Amino acid sequence: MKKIFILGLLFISSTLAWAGASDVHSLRGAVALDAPAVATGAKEWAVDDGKIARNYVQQPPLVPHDIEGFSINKDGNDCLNCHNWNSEMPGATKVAVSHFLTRDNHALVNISPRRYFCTQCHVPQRDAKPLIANMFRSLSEE
Amino acid sequence: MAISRRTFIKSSAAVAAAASIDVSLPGMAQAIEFDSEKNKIRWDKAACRFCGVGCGIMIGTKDDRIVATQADPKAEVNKGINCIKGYFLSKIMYGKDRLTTPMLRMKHGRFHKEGEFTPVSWDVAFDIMAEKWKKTLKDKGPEAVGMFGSGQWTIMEGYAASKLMKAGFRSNNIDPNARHCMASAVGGFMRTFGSDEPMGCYDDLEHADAFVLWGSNMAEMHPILWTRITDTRLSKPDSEVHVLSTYEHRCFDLGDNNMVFTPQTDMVILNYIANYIVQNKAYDQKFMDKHVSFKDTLTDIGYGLRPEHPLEKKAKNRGKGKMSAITFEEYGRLLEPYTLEYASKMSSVPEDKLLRLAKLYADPKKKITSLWTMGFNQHTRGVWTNSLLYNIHLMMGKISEPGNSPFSLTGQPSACGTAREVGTFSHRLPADLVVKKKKHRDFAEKVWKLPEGTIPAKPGYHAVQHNRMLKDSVINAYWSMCNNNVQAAANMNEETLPGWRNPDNFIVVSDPYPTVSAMAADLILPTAMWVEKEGAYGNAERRTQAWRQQVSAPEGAKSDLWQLMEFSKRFKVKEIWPADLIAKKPELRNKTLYDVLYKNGNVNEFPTQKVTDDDGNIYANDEMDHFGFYVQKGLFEEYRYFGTHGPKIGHNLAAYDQLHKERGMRWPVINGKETKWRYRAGYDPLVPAGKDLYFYGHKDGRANIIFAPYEQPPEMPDKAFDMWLCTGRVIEHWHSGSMTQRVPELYKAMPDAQIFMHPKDAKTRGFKRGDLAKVESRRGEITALIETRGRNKPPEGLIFVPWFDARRLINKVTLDATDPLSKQTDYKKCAVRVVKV
Repeated sequence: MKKIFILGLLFISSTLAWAGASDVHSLRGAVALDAPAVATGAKEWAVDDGKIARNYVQQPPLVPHDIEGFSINKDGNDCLNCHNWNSEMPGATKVAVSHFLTRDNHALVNISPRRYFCTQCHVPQRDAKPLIANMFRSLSEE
Repeated sequence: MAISRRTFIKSSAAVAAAASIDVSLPGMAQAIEFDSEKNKIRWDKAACRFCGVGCGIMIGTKDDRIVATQADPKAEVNKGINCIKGYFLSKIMYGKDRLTTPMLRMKHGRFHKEGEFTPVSWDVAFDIMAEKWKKTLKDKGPEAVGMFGSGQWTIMEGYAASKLMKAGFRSNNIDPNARHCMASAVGGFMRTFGSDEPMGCYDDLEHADAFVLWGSNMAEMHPILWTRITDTRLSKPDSEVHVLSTYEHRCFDLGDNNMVFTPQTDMVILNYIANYIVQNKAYDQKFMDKHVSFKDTLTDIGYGLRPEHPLEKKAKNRGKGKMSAITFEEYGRLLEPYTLEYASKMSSVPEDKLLRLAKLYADPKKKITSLWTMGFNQHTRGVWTNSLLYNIHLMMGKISEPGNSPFSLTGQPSACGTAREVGTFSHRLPADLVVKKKKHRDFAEKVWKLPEGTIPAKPGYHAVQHNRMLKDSVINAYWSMCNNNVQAAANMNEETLPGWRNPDNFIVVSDPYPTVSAMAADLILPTAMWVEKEGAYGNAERRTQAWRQQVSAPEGAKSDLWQLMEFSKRFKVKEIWPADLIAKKPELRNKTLYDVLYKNGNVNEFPTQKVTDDDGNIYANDEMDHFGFYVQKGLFEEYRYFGTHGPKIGHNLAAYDQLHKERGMRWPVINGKETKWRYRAGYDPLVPAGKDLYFYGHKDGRANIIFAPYEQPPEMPDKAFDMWLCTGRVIEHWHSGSMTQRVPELYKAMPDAQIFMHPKDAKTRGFKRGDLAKVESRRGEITALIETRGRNKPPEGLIFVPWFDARRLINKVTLDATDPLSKQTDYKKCAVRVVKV
């Protein structure tokens, strides 16, 4: 019994120490490194709440809707149904003119194959609270 | 293309919502100040902080802050495109929890291993560090201090660190995290070509007719190179893409011949293709006669586990890489068992798909670029496997020319530039030199103006060994910089944590953020990052890229370079070098390591100057201001001498001043001109006159075709642990997520590491998508959410779990088995079970 008690104490003290005392924490927060994984739950896609503000004009727009079940492969691209420059879908952000240029800046009729896989630059967002605040300041905020 | 009802409804809803926000009211015209200072942003070039592709970035700054980043339209690598991570570089330095003061574990006002992190001054931090280092050096000698470095260090930082360890403390116990990602590639290059790094370059991606991906998910891990492959595949008639992987991933969306193979059987497939080429006499006889030697290698070499492990005791040739010459006929006979039927049976890939792949390689008219990363490198037979692929290209003569290119991709932004070229590995010196060779040590000592015998001849402990030696109290003073190895190293529960928290050891972590590693340390040093300092990176195509300091670091944070050089001032030569060594150069006796290593007449050769660009903008250089000379230039130029005058030819780098003007240059740079394809006359000026092609890494100018058989991995699914675990990255996060998880947009795109699993495997275990499940191995466990319809679609019997998530730490589960030759961990294969929480 005594042995168990001591072991328990050791565990608690090491756990506390490894969690990082004072106000320094890793992304695990106060959960110690040797403790089980931080609890998490399924997070829904943040859907249909309008366009997401950009931080600067060079930032690719984020996707303000769920894209599960969309496919982009060599046979077709579901995103372009609404986002191609000539799509009649009202309100859908249209692909920028930059997306019609080859590597050597030659303008094409259709979207440039180098820009074909949309999700390399455009990602949807889950409904999740950031782990850590970010202090980046957009010039548009000034 | 039909628009689905669901899509339409969603989009319509989005429109309605957007309209309610964006509506512009009459009479509220926006006034824009076109001519004011407020409208101006300073733009300057840099290399991306993340992967080995090495994209060019334009950094927009205003009032000493980054306000925007964009892809550099002038950069050859990416020509105006970034991936999602690259587009958010502007935010990586602004996580709210940036460290700004050293933190020491203290109890009752002094250091205590189990104390609480307490802010201390830099002076106090270096005092305790120096005390621990000196005591360790005095009590146990140089082999008891260690440093864990990085393929994300700048070239100058890696070089300064390597000098401090190898020449200052006289310990070869320095190894970078690149050991985890590139060591097998290096091993393959050295054995096959005698010279590290690819012969080809990214231009191959526009020249090739076919691309073959071997264990590389480029769509997520090398996204910009993937845009170049996509560009070629979709615009060039008859081009094709073959993808091999142990699970289905995003590259399969472009693939013409997609193959999911059983883990480790890539070796069987490679030998089958070689056998096909031999059997059908498809090889280029002339090329082989002139440029190739045939070799066999010792087999049954173990798995890099601790020596007492039963598998190591059983291995006949543990850790041995000896090769012996064989004939082409003997090579052919060794390949004979690797038939199409055998390859298909072993790999589970249908015969027609394998045959199509073999025919592609055997077609003399097809220009093929083969690409691989961690699938080959994180492999207990990684060195062998790298060479097995070179074998095929060499037999066909498909190498060193536009489009014909076996191309080893790199993980980290400067795994090539810093870890490999500078030689921050425990066995290496700059420009492909090694500590084992006296001639190489002599050269380094001469360049560094040090007495003969300063650099120890015995290779130090490699990365995986570091944690074991910390656990065993063999290494006692340890500094980890620019990486997060507690999260990154395999077998965290049994090796890493016990090693770091061992009361005999003093562990220092330098990082901009409180990482998992920082939490396991005894002293945390707040660090300036990326463009808060001047630096240079070298990418996977041999391109060296420099940048100027763009903004100041937060008050209190210092660059790795500043930390290394300041710390070196704490040591006098007479305190740590033996008398017989000092006797060879007595004038060094009372000098500090700083004087000896950095104020040596080379590094401090260039006085302070204004750093400017072509537009006349002036840039800060905090290290130059502090030390009183142009530190980065001095270090780079001293280092560059190894490539231009050293015993191994072919590593000529561009002059530092030129690098500031160019969008990077690919070495060898001869007479100010870069080299796109090495070893081939007409492209590479180092090929001797009269030769069409010359593999000058070997004295006889020949490359080795090295036969190696299939050998089993150390741990495979069994009754108790019935599934394969494969770990890796995702596009949204860089490595351990210490930067990208602090960017809200990237975090929200991929907040948690999931268990990617086949729907049938989920069903038989009673899981629905989104359920919490436990992944268990013989070493540890984590919990995560089940994902059966995600971007990765594993076959039955295999799960994929990414390692970016500090809150899950999948490396509690992984096995620390390595390639016994390269010492690189296999993070792609171990046995687990997935059970209810």
